[in-house]
Amino acid sequence: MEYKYIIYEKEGNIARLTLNKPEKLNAFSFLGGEDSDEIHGAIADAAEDDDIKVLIIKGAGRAFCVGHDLSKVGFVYGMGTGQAGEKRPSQRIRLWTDKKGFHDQFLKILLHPKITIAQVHGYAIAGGLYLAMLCDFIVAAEDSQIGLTEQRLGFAGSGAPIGNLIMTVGMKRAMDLLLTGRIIDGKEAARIGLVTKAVPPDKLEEEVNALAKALALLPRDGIAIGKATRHLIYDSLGLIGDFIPVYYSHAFFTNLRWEPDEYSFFKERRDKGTKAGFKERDKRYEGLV
Amino acid sequence: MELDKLDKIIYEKDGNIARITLNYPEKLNAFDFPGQGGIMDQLYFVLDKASEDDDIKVVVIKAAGRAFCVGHDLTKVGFIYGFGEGKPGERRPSQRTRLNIDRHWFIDHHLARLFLHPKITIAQIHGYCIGEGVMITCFADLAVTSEDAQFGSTEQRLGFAGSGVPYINALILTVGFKRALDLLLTGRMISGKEAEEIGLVNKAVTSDKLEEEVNALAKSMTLLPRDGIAIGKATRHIVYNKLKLLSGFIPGYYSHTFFTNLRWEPDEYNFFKERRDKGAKAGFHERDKRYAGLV
Repeated sequence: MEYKYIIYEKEGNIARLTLNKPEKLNAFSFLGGEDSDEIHGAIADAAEDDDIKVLIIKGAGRAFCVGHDLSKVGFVYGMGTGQAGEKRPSQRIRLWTDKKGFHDQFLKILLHPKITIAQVHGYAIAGGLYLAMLCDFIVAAEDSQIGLTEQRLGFAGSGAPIGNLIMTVGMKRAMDLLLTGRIIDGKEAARIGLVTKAVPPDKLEEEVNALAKALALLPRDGIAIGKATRHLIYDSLGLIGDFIPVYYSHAFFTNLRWEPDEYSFFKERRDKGTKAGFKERDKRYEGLV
Repeated sequence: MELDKLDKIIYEKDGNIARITLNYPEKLNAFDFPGQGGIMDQLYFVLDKASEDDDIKVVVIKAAGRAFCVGHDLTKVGFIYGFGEGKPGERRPSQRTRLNIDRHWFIDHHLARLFLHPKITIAQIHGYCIGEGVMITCFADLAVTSEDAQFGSTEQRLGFAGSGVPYINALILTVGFKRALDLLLTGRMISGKEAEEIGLVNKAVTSDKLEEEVNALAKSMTLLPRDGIAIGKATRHIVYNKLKLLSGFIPGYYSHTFFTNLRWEPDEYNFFKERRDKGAKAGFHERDKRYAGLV
């Protein structure tokens, strides 16, 4: 299978899915788009391939994944150019689009029948961090930059898999990450249990490979029963239903009305471009968190 | 069963504190199954005694010998269901038989009489703490360990791959999601020190201080009134129910039974086959050797 935006390789019982848009720091559409379709196609292939016991997700270039392409967010619903007089997209379009992207597709990763490892280096932020969190393991380079930066767009602790985060790092740390949207390094992420392990950058590949090999020692039926059992457990803990508030609140957020004295990334993007938009967003936090 | 006829458990009362000592040191306190009259039945017999004894406010579970508990006796696992010799022509045990055994073990024992025990429970851990040992660690109210204890869910390496135990929910809520999956899917051993760092236990101390540390802690708990302890524990049962900690037990037993149907492929390591051909010890040594240098 020829891919444009990813690389998919098999090595014995291990599959490696490399996000391959390095010029965009592996920003993907997530909410529909040829690039996301490739990710989900490869993930489905790994699910159905009896050879595969472990799926590693990694990123080409200098980042794991920076989440949604911020030059595109919002437009997928048909927001047009934001000019006066344009008809705003219906709520049903927003809900349906977000359900497909945030609920259906993300759930497939959480419920994947094989063991999953996110191999993180550089940025793992926003949707990129969600992607990693949905994997059974995250092994990160110590100097990775990890955070829920999208929360600063105005989500203020919504639109993200919050239940998962709370059960991973605890209530207080979860609120910190969600409400400040700050970036922490791989070392701190390991210390708080957000990632399974942090390693020196030059050891990342070999550490992930050793872990994958250890996990591949497990029998196929065992992996399948193990994962399915954890689906029951996750269900009881509300971790599967966690995606319903994710898509629901994401759709609701798109109705946000910014007051004149409030920073709107979307307005900034319209006037000055995406890069200026998020740089300005983050500059306002300097010296504070 | 009678208190003065126990050979694998020591039960002692010390004022308001009951001390239960796992006492099968020649087998590193390896467990058998309910109904076999051994360490499992005897443990739950004395846990029941402590429940009913109005003098008792705190129950300490500790162990004799050089380990806390190495989990189930691997020379015996599987046979309880009636698998026989594994020879062709033998009829495999029914699913209902397997489900009954596992339900009895996880629900009647682990859930009803350990996790929901009405008194304050403290696990005092040294040496190996594997399998049932980790289960006791998770379900006791408090756990104190020696720094050099070795904790691990090594049974997961038999092929459970993160299933077949009642404590997955509890483990997630104790050490966090990622750390729980690490321990379950790698089956690796961690020291008492690391167990303290991740919050699996309350405290890790040097071996020589373990007994006095647990005694001081137990004594502090006896300062609480009997009714207070009862209401406190029962209230936490409500909270545990809401947080779905009780929901770990049913998938726990169900998946344990499901696992007994596992079909190993020719290229997969099968402890049960290895045990049949070379014995249990060779079986688990070979199992763990395959992980050397990896985790």
